[in-house]
Parts: sequence; C-alpha cells; structure tokens
Amino acid sequence: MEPLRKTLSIHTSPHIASGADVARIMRHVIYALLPVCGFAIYAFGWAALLTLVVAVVVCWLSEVLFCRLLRKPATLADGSVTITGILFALTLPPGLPLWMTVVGAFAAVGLGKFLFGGLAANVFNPALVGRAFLQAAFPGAMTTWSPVLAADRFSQIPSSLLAAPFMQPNYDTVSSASPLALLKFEHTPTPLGDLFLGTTAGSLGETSSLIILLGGAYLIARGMMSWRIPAGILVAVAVVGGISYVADSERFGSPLFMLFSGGLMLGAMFMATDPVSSPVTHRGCFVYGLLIGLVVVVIRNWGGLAEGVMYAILFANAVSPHIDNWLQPLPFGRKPGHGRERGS
Amino acid sequence: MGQAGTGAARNGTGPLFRTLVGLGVVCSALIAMVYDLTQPLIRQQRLEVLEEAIFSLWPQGRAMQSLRVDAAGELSRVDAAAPTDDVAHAVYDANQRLLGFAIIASGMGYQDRIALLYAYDAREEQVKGIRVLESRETPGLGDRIGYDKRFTASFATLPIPLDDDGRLMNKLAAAKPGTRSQPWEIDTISGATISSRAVVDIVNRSAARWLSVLREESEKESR
Amino acid sequence: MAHKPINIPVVTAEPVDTDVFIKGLWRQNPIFVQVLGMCPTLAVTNSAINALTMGLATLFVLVMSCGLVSLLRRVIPHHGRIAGFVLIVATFVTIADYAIQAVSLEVHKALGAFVSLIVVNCIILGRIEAFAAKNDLKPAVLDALGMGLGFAAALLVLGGVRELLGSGSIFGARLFGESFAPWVVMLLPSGGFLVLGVLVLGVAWLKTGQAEESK
Repeated sequence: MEPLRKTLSIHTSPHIASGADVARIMRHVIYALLPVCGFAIYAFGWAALLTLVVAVVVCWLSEVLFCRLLRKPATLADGSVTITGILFALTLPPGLPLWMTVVGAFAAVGLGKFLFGGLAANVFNPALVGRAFLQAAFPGAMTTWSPVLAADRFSQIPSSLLAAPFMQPNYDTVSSASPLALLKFEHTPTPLGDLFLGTTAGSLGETSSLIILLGGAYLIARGMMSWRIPAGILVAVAVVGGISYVADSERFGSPLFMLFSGGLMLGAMFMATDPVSSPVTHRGCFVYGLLIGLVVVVIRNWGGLAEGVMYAILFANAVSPHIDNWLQPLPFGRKPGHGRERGS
Repeated sequence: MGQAGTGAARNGTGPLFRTLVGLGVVCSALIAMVYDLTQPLIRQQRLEVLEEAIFSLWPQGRAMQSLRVDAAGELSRVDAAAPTDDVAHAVYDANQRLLGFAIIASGMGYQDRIALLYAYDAREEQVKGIRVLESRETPGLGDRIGYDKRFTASFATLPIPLDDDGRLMNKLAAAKPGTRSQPWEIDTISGATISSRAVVDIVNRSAARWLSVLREESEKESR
Repeated sequence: MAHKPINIPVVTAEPVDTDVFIKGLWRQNPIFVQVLGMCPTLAVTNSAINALTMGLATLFVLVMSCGLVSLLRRVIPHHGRIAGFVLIVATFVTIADYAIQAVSLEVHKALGAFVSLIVVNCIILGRIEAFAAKNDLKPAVLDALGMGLGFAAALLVLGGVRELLGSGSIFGARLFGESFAPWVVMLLPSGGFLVLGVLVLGVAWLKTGQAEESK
C-alpha cells in the first residue's frame, strides 16, 4: 500500500492556535503534580520515591519501545507519558513490590495507550488502565496499605518493595487499613482533619486533599483544565453522598468524608480531566463529572469494593463519546431537530 | 451444495426420515457401546476420588458405607459411587469399628455452588475436619476456603454438641478475622468473607439435617 | 508461535492435499485468524491441561464427524443435512465426554458443560458444511486434522500463558516455588480476553510482516 500523497491536509476544529500545545499543557500539569509527589515522598519516604522513579522510567522505556515497534515518531518529549507515569505511581499503595510497578507501568502504556493507537487515540486514561490491570492481577498486594509517616521511612527501604520478580512480597510492618476500608468493613470513621491534610493510610497520591486541590486550582487558574469536570464530580459526590448519609448515617460516610477520602480528589483533578478521554463540549464535561461522582458513591456505598474512583472514571471514559454525541452543539445555521448527524 | 442429496432424495420427507432414523440408530448403538466400555472406569474414578477425600479426613479409615436419610429421618444404605450430593458416609477402621462420619454438603457460594465434605465424630460431638470438593470461588480470594490453613484448622476440632432433642445447641457462626471468642465461632478469611460465611452456612444446614440421625446410628452401632 | 507450516511433515506428495492440511495450522488458524469457537477458547483455557484436553476432544470430534459426513454425503438429503450433521457431531461429543470422564474426573469437572458444548462449536459445523460435505474422505479428514490441530495448538498456547502467569506452573508443575504471586486476572475470563487479544494482535502483526517481506 502506497501512502496517499497529501496536498491538502484536513483538520478538525479548532483551527486557531492559542499557543497551548500539548507539551506546554503537560509541563504545567507536571508542575501541579510536583507538590503531590513531594508530599507522597514526605509521607512514605523511600517507598514513594522509588515507586515514582520506577513508574516514570518504565513508562518512558515502554513509550520508546512501542514507538519503535509501530514505526511512529517518538512522542516522549511532549511530556504526556511522564504524566501517565507519575499519575500511575500516585495511585499505587506505598508498599507495592517494584516488579509489580514495572508490570503495571508497562500495561498502562501498552494496553492503555498504544493498543488504541498512541497519544490522543486512547479511549481510557492510561494510568488508570495500568492500575486496573494491577488491581485485577494482584488484588491482595493492591489493597495492602503501609502506615503513613512511619518513623523509619527515610532510613530503610521496605522489604516488600524489593520482592523478587513474580514472588509475593513480605510485609515487615503490620498493614493499616485505608479510611474507606475502615468505614466500610469496620464502621470506624476517620477524623476529617487527618483526611484533609493527608495523614492517613492510602495510595501515594490520595492522601492530602489540600495539596491536590491547590494543584488543581493552579491548572484551572492558568486555563489549562476544564473546571467543569471536577466541579461535576464534587457536586455529584456531595449531593448523592449527602442523600445516602441522611438516609443511613450509620452505614455510609458523611459527604465531607466522601469528598476528602480515597482517590477522589486526585481522580477528580488529574485523572478525569485527561483531555483525551473526557468529553469535548462544556455541557458534556459537566455531565461526565456528574456521572463519575454518582458511580463513585454507588460503588463506595453499595459495591463490594471500598473505593470506586478508578472504575467510575474508566466507566465514564467509555461513555464520554456518547455524551459528546448526545450533547453535540448544533452546527451554525442549522435548526434544532433537523439533520443532526450522529455517530459519524 | 449440489452434491449432497441426489435425484429423488432431494425433496420428499421419506428419504429424510429414513436417513435420520438410520443415523439415529447407528449413533445410539455407538454411544451405548462406548457407555458400556467407559462406565466401569468412570465408577472407579468416582469412588477413588471420594475415598481419597474421605480417608484424608479420617486417616485411620479403611472402609466406608454410604448412607442416605429420607424425609422421615430413616437411614438407608446406598451405593457409594452414585453421583449424588446428599449423602453421608460412615467410616470404619481396620477392625470394622465405626470411627465417625464424613458428610457431603453443598450450597451457594460467592460465584457458584460449593460442595464440601466434613468429618463428624458422633462420640466426641465434634467436627473433625473439612474439605472442599467443588468450588468456583474467585482464585486467590474466595478459593482460599479450600487451602487457607487457619480457616481449615478452625474446623479441625470444632465442638458441635446436640441437645437431647437432637438439635444443635449452638449454630456455628462466622466471626471477623481474629475476633473468634466462642468455641462455635469460625474466623472468616479476610478478603473472602462471603465464601467463608457460605461454608459456615452450608455446614450449619447440613448439620441440622444429619447430626441427630447419625448420632443415633452411632449409638446403635456401639451398643 | 512454533507452528509455521514449513516444518510440518507432509502427509502426501500432492500439493493440494498438503495445503488442505496445513492451512488450518497457521494461515487460516481457527482461533487466531478466523476467530471462531470463542466460547471454549475463553472459558476453559485457564490451565494448560484443561486447554489441551479441550483441544484434543475438539480435534477428535472434528476429524470423526468430518470423516463420517464425507462418507455419508450422498446419502444425507440436502434439506435435512443440518439435522444429520448435528446428530453425528453430538454422537462423537458424547463419546468424547465419556472418555474424558473415564480418564480424569478432575479435568472433566474443570471443563464442566464446555465438553457438551463442543456440539455447537462453529468450527465443527463450519468445516462440515464448507468442506467435508463437498469432498472425498481423504481431503475431508486432512482438512479436519489441520483445523483441529490448529485449534488445539492455539488453545494450548493460551492455556500455557494463562497457567504460567495465573498459577506459576505448567501442566501443574510449579516453576516458581511456593511464594509465587499469582496474577489472579489470568485465571478469570477477563484474563482470557486479554491474552487472546494480545495473541491475535501478535499473529496479525507477524502475518503483516511476512506479507510485506514477500513483496
């Protein structure tokens, strides 16, 4: 097959460049993520640093490998894969063996990104695909949480991190339950202040809501991120969580607990807002956010799992083309109800 | 498909009828023949699997007799290799002395039906062990009911006394991991709560049906 | 991917027959290329022994049914042929079912209803309808052998990968010792989808490479 020689290149809109190219946006997202990483390292020490470094490096290597295999130009420099690596690492529990991190990072880039054709063609958020793969493959290790702010976190590397490839990790400290698991399985709520500041057990990046909120606010202020998606998620979680709390305050967490626990903030600010896998239209973004929030509360309250942010976002990723289709703005000059072409 | 069916055979129901009946006769003859050949082997297999399971629970056991209970609570002897769920097996040692019973019980688990075998010692009024025969529980989580040492160990000497009317004095109860405080409580496996509860329920239901009948049978034998 | 057609021993000297046999192994592999018979492919390949048993049972049913249909193709009336084919296939499936039970109850239990479901495996009716009902005994059996072996080999690869990652063993022999961390997903049906998808991708990729080279 000979490639078509292009004399005229056809683009979809937008046609006016604003200077906000992929690399520049990605750079700012990385800036916003740095404090989150910093806090993760402060809270979990060597474990967090090693997990972050390994995840990012493996994502880079996988990106280079797949670009070679598919004979595509390398897309390493635009920074998107670095973000995939950082976000993926931030969703992991701090004691996870590094070899599992390697498997997951490879799956994130391979299954999440290149299977669909590379940057901007992925249906799902690659970081979450990597995490979902690990969750399905190693459910035990993915729900074993190391204690936060352990005294020896900077003096020694946890032995579970260094488990030999394909072998089960040995945890040297007693694992502590995450706030969501505590509420769901032991009916013990966690103080809100701890949740807000991040001094609770959990994944690397799901602990401090405060720092994540600041990072998100920075991106919104710079106009690099749609505020409608996080707004939709937070509104839906607050409202649906509020209703269920009023209905049964024994069993379900309060809306504030719902908002500040687990991966909700990280998911709302950095995962759901992935421009590739979220809707294009303004109204679509809001609907998409509401859907995620609703599914999160449903999974947390009535599902078998303690946390549902990952599956909620992946589910909404799958629905987002339909949301776009449904809320497609009318082309200029067309009357409502006439010749609306769908599913092109 | 011009070659298949020629000439007069193309329409009419007569030839079709004849062919299908002919085929049917030949095929059923073939199946019957294979059935006759394989049936003894299959029975042998069933028996071996069952014996292996029962004698792993009763290491001193050398012989067994399968029992079934009818609606009126009467015991009858049945053929061991019959593929049925609702059977208890009396286990005897080398001197033909009754050791105890191994009871097959089944019920719904998390994914699908769980079938298990548990040993009942009527003299000591204890469950002496448990073994999962069939389960499709989630690998790595729910299927630990079959091999989690701590979980199976809680069935190793589990008192299950009956009152004078032959009812369970205490139903077995599932407790959260590590919170077992009563002799009739069983620690569930963390991450496999539903499957562990299912096992406890299955044993409870089966015990209510079997234990009093088997205790009588055991008293009769020792007299 | 050890099943490149080059090294397969040639059954007859006639080139047509050779091609009839080898096309099912690679070029028209029922699983990786035609993507047929997905139900047993995904359901029972969680261990190598299950996959192999399923593959051999299907191979047996395929060869016997194709042979018998080819012999009877002038006797079975055209408009009642499907009923006749199903009758023949069901007979051999029942025989295979008894045989598996007689050899190992454990494997039979693991395969569950999927042995009986070989009756509705589209590879079998497909090969009968498309090939055996139109050809003589020898090509019909060769075609069935090729397709059946291709199916069995593909199943074995799938089952091998899933058992290796899911249980750390091959045919029950543990390769990594006791502390192996099982990839639970590989034992679940979703793992079947994942591995099958990756294998189909790999085969398609290899074939494109071959086609480009031969140009």
